[in-house]
Amino acid sequence: MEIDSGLLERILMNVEKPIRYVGGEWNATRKSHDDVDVKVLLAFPDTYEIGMSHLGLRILYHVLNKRDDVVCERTFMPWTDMYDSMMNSGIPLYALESRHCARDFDILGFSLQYELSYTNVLAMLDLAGIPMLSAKRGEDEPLVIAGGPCVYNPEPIADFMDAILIGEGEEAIEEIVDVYKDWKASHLPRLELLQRLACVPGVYVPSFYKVSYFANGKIKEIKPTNPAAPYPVKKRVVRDLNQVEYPDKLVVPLTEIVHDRAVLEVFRGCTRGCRFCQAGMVYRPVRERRPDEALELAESILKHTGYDEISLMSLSSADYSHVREVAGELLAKHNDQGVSVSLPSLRVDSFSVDLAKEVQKGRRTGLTFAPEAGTQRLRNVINKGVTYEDLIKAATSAFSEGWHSLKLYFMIGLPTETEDDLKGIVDMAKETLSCGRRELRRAGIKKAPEVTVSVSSFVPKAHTPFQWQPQMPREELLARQAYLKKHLRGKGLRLTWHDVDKSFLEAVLSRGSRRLGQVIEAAYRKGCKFCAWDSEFRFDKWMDAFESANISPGFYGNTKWECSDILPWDHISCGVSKEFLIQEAERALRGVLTPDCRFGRCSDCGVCSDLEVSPRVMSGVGKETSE
Amino acid sequence: MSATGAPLHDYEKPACAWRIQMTKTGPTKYMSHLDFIRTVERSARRAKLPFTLSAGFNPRPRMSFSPALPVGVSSCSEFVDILLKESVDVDPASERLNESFPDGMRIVSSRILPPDTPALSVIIQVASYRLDLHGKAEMCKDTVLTAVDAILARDSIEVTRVTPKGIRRVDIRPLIYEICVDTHSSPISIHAICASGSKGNVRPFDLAEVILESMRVENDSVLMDITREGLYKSCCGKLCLPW
Ligand code: SF4
Repeated sequence: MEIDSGLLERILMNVEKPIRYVGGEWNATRKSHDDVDVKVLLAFPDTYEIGMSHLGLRILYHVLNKRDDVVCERTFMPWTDMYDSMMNSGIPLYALESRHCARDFDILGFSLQYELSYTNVLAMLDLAGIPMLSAKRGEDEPLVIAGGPCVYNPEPIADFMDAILIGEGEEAIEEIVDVYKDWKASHLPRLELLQRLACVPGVYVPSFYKVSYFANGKIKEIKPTNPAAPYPVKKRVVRDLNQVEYPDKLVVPLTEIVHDRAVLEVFRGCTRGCRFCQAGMVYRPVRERRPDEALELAESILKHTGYDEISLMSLSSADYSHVREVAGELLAKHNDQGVSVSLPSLRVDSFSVDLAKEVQKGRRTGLTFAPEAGTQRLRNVINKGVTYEDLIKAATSAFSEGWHSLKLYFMIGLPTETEDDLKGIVDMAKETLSCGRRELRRAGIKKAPEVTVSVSSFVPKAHTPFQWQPQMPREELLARQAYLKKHLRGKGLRLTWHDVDKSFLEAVLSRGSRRLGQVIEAAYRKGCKFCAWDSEFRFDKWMDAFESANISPGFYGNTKWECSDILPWDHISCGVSKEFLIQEAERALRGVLTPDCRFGRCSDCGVCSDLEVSPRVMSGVGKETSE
Repeated sequence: MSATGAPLHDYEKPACAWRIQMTKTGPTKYMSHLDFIRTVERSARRAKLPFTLSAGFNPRPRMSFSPALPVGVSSCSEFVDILLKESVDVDPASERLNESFPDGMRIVSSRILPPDTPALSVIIQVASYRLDLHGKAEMCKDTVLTAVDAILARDSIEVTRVTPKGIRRVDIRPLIYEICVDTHSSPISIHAICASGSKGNVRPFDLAEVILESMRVENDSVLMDITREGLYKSCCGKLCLPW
């Protein structure tokens, strides 16, 4: 059923940014629902502007709509004003393309990018009129699935999902759709569908696992209860990026979104091995796109979208073997039409500064470095292979090339951090600033340098060497922030920090067990939505929700767990072995670095043997080395 | 002033201005003016038009636009000037651009003009709007007719304008040139001609508010679809399209 468009138009006149809710974008796909076998609705639990900036959503949209037997549409979490208006006027969650109700679709697929969006998932199910709990869904309800980085610990959201895809989606989503299509034709009960899905590699069906607990809250056992359920569920991984679909007809929004440019993923994975970083563990190994393929795709994307900027995206763009060649060739071809190239996530070194200089062609938009910790000791603990000299060298070359404002990212509350490390942050920032004064003066630039220090708080994440570590208590984090606020003052210095309550909740949900499902539901019922937004975050309501469920958040956020403990996500495997993580945790405490395997030496993390993949790094045009 | 009012030291000299009259309806009526500009730029890139670029580190296609349309108001007559490096055949170029526009945007008519044509923002002075009344107002034509007569009989109509400098009261009565009611259409529609541009401006939502007030109905019991039907320059007291 389509929603009442007249009613919609009426409420659109009274909400902020109605353009978010009408679709009609360039390259959006319209298909008749009557002509397809499977209808998929991709749901992003945050605003349109954030969701549309997300590459994964665009890839799946493209892969699914390429098929004649499938229609794939999109829906986003309506902002609070629209959400209230829809609830009040009885307009259910709908798809932007066809304006069909979410309930009309066969599969509703959520993209879980950050834990604080969980209440929005419930809000969207509620608005759609679909029971929030998987167990309460009837035979005719849509299949509700999820994917994205959060699902490496799927437990807090497990009760709400019929199935969860662990890992990379572009191949698995087609298999899921195939299974669905066969099942639909078979007219067998829903249980049969779930059993068949559990047989698709990478698919986790939470209801097929039983979790039991000790009295202290720790997990006693995670046990599959259905013969179809694998243990562990291994993540899906694409072997070769050059062999899978990539969207060139990217949907071009009618309004400005967060990352409003064309994106081309030049490689996936990062094996630098920072010990706090989940992306650096779960997206292993490194797989690069062939440069000729990258260029061809970039051409096609620019042609089909009309964007004037293309971003060569990855977890660390300067690491792409052919970054210079690809960026250079794109600029040579398109710069006279005003097209620019951007390289997100640069390293802390002068190579990166040189690259930025080349692609920015005289523009000097922001430059960001992430030393992450203030002393060499702590940087060794976290395996961040950056030295003080690297930073000063990079800063020197940036300032001498005409940048006058730099941003430095640090994390506080890292395991073993002391006041020395905080002092180190202050020293690095001040030294960077005086380096800026010197270099700008030398270059004859009149502008005063600016250094912005952005500090986030350490959040322990599943499948990292620091997964057993507690987050520091709130008071301790506040004291550390206060130290930095006190010492990072003065002309040219700016400090930004993250809300500690939000970081705490993120830690709790990141390490949460299935028991947190009831807390998330309670928080939603108390009105929590858009919790990642400072303006909407209500810590008090969350604490009420924990209390009403009689669950202590500190157990998940602030407790050190033992290596022998069964972790809530022990039945989920990203390929990196627990032995490797334990070994890395020990090396961290000893301050021993582990080198990046991209440059040759395998540190035996387990991914390649376990998932039968290998790093693919391109050594020359069209050639590649893989072990 | 040149058609874009752009700085004198551009590095690309335009050969002509392509003036386009186009629609902005359907989903695109919810685009802000900035969204609209960006979307026309991207469409022009997709259509591979030989536009000239502005100078600077972030060069953009040189274009200029008729006065901004409020979010939610449709238009069947927006104007855009695109400064081109070389002249184009209007028909194939229009076809290409139409194929590159999202739904709701469509060229109505276009002409090639000299590059130093006076800017749209300078010459456009008058706009016409159609306000379609849905909802309870449909019940009674007389209410609408009486309301419009009452408006026209007034000497002054003050509306509030919130500007960065504070709140101002503006008398829009002298800027409303004509209002008439089409009672034969369904839904009933009201046509208004009023000042639009730098020398005095009546906003379409001002009109809607004044009409609703005069009809004494609650704002949310009536839905008004507003469409900008025309934009004009005045030549010798007559309304002409800005060609
Ligand atoms: S198994 Fe070895 S080569 Fe493969 S990702 Fe792990 S460390 Fe790198």
